[in-house]
Amino acid sequence: MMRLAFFITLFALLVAACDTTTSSDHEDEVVVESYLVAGEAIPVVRLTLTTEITGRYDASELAIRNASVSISLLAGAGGGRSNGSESVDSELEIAYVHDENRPGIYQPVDSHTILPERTYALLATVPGYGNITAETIVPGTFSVRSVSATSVQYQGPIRFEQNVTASAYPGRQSIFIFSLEALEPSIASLTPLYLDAIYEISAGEEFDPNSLDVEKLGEFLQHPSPPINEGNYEVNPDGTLTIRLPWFAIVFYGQTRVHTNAIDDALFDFLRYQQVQQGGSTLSPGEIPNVLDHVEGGRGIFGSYSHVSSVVEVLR
Amino acid sequence: MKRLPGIFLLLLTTTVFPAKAQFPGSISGFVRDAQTGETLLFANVYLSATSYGAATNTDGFYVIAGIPAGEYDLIVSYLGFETHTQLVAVEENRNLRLDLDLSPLNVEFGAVTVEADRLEAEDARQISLAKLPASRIANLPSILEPDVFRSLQLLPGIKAASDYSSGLYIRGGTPDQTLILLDETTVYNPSHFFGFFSTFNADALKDVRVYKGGYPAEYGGRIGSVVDLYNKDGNRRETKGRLSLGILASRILLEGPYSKGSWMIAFRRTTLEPLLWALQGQDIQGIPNQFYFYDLNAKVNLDLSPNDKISIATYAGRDFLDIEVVEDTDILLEYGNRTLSARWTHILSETAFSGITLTSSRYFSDPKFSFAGTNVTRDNTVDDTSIKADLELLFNSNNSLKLGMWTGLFTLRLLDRFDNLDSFSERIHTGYGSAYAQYTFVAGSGLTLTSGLRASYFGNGRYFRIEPRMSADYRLRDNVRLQLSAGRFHQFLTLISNEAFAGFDVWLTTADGVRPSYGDQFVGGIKWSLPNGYKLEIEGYYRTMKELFELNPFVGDPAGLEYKEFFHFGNGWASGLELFLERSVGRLNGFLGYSFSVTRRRFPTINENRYYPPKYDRTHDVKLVTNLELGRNWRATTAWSYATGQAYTEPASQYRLNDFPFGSEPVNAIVSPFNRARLPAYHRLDVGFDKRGRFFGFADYTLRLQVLNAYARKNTWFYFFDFEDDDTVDRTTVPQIPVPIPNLSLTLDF
Repeated sequence: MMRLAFFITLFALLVAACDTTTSSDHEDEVVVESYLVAGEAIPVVRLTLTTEITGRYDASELAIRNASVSISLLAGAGGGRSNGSESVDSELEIAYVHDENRPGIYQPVDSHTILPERTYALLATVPGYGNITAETIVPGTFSVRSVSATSVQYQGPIRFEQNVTASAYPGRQSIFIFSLEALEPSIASLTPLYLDAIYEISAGEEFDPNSLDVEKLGEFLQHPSPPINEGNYEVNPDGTLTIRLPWFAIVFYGQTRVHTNAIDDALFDFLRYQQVQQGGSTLSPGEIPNVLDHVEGGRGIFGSYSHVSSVVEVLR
Repeated sequence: MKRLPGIFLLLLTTTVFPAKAQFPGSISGFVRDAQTGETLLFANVYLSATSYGAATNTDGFYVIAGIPAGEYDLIVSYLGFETHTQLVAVEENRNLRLDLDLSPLNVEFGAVTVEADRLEAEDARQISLAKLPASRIANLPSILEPDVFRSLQLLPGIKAASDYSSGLYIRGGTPDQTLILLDETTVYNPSHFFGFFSTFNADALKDVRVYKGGYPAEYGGRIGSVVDLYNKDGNRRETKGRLSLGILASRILLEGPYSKGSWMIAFRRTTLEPLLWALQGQDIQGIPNQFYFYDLNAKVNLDLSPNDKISIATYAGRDFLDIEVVEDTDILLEYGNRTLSARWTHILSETAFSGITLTSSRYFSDPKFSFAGTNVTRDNTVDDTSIKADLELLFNSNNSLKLGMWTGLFTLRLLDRFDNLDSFSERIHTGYGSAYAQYTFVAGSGLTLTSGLRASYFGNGRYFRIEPRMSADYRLRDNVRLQLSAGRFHQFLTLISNEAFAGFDVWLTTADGVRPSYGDQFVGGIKWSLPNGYKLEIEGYYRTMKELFELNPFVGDPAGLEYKEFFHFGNGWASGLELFLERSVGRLNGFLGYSFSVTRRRFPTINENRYYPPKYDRTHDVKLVTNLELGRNWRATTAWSYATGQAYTEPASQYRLNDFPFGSEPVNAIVSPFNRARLPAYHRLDVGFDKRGRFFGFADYTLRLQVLNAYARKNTWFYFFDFEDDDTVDRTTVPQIPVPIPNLSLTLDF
């Protein structure tokens, strides 16, 4: 019987020896990047290539310089292929040219102000890669009706709240991204949570700001929230939303600009999938899904948003 | 499969009611441990040189009916107990009530080797059923504490997601596809330490059974498998105790008789406080202010009469962690389970046995976070109150029927608050019910057919489902049996969890637009009892998973969404072949398990709607467990595991959003074929040594030294890809338990 056990073990090990570790292959793809902002000038378009995961990312080296690029305003309010129609007419087509001083950046030839609740389409033709297309529906504009205060004491009784009008988007509630831009950033003005998280310095502990690496502040100068649904906020009787700034979002004391952005589906999908790539979802660790983008023939973002901002001073 | 319900109904109606029931004579009664009075589940009782026999049920009760009048040698056997033989006289039209006590084999380390129990209860060895005696769980090397689920993970077909998880991934299914029952009560989060340990105290358990698939109609509610656990009833002969002192936790068990029955109480609690105090004194950041878990199992049995028994069992467990990770933050994590069951078993007649059980189960999870004055809280509870009734009828030696129902109320409450405002609220309060009929026909010539039908209803969404089940058992030779089973299974619940952390588990249910998952299972196997106490089992299976509803991982914020928008809906399948070679007797005993398995999933949100292997897919899996008695008072135990590396995503390409408008840093993204790569193969050896003897004359002691990962294998848990400041991507290996972990415990039996 031990012989049987031996053979089973041997069989198992032999089969197991056939276990292989496979590797993935890189393939160059075109990456589009352009953000349309309601009510602002039509933006530049950046075209780059993906690169191998084992390589070093260099935007200049990966820039695409020989593409033909245009953006069209499609006919009809909120229209376009995004709404299901097979083909649509364009009211306006704006051609782009490559900016030789900024590799990969394409500048619009004509001026145009982005219209809210309209559909724009991108067409980029890249030699060797074919046509890259994408569409975006620009979220409706909105405004700040009022703010609760122009200065608040950090973790004090008065909260900073914005009262904003609604932004329209076809087929769904508004999705917001908030970002705080520090107007007076410094190591000395970090709030206790971030002082400890970035430099491991506890509250009350003495330190010399000049001895610390200021580069570490880079990603905190302006940092975004994840996409947040309009459904989180109570709708006031007049149809406005009251949006409260959570204390933990404040990295620096001092003047802070609070940006409120209503985003389109392209940005929403890209960011919520990209967030899962970083972990923390219900997927198992090591399971990394690709980002859902709305770019045909390539990757990246051709997205849009509308935004408002307010300034508040955060006192110690 | 759509035609199957009709076929099963036909089978039931044509075979359940034989033309004329005959009752020439019968024998019935309980089988108990002579030393403790504990009932023995699935003991084998049969009449020598005849085909008359039966196994005890989950209450330890047996019935052998249809016996012609005469004298017989009645034989009772149960693994680890002396075989009992008794001459009995069966009279026509009379039942012989015969309660039987079996004496445990007197196994002294090194002195006596366990004799082969060749009469092992074959009838109890249903297809895909694995049993794990509580004694074996205690002996297996463990991470700091004996662990029921980690022991189950050593069986073929049952896998662990990682060294850090006690979750059961059975035959390609996720943990929520396994029904966990403790004394017939559903346990919704069977974990301690946020998933690291399972919640059950091995000292308190009498019996652990796992239906890995193709389970009978008396169970339902999950599309995968069933883990059925029973607490000890308590010693009916004398008051006994067991005290165990360990590195992580200590345990105490007390049990004994009283005038009307027996009682048992077991308590376990972590004893980490001295270590925490010492570390807190070092001013090390990230040391918890408080951390503990405890659990309590208790059971009381009341014998109202020889035919009536009431048992009341309860479980209470809680995990608590208070930690400040960085300045101006506070994290309070608390979760646990409570169960209460009351069961009345009544012997209606010599051939009819009934049981009614009231159950109540609560799972709660209340994590609280405070980040710089911003409070984020969750209040999540699941309450499940139900009543079950079962009736077992034995018409004659060839025909038996089981009938049952289970109905209850399920209430889920989930309230998320952000910054002291409600951000998400969901309350599901719904009734559910099911009924089943399971008919067993002994066709003769060694063939036994079991067919069953289960009907289930779930109120949320108003779903009614029919589940046909069938199995066949053919005794090819005295020591060889062939088995088949097939069935359909439905599931009305889904679990939101994470492999790495089970502290925030949330259950959700079907609803309008969220249909129940279902799957079909087909299992075939051979069981072969070999000389010298060896047993060989080979099983193959194929199962489907349809209309799986799982939380869409890309729904970051559920506020304002319709309930059905929380989910993504997909399919899956799994197939495999399992070999299990066991020797349960002799100085050297143990088992060797091997499984070849494949499982795949498909969801529209992942991998462009193509099938992919989930992380827990492991093609080859080998487990070798040995127990070796080393002289008079010593025992050595080893457990070695080998498995194919798990599936993971190896990024191929990267790109960047250089002009991201909402932040001061660019946004990085990677491109990769989903889960196409494999981690390096996993293997690990755990070893343990027991020294047993007398402790100052008043107790028996077992001193246990165990080492996990004895040869310090650095298995990979996953890779983490980090975008560095120099514009490269760094791959960091996150290891499973990378170093040998010692464990020392002292157990006193008094």
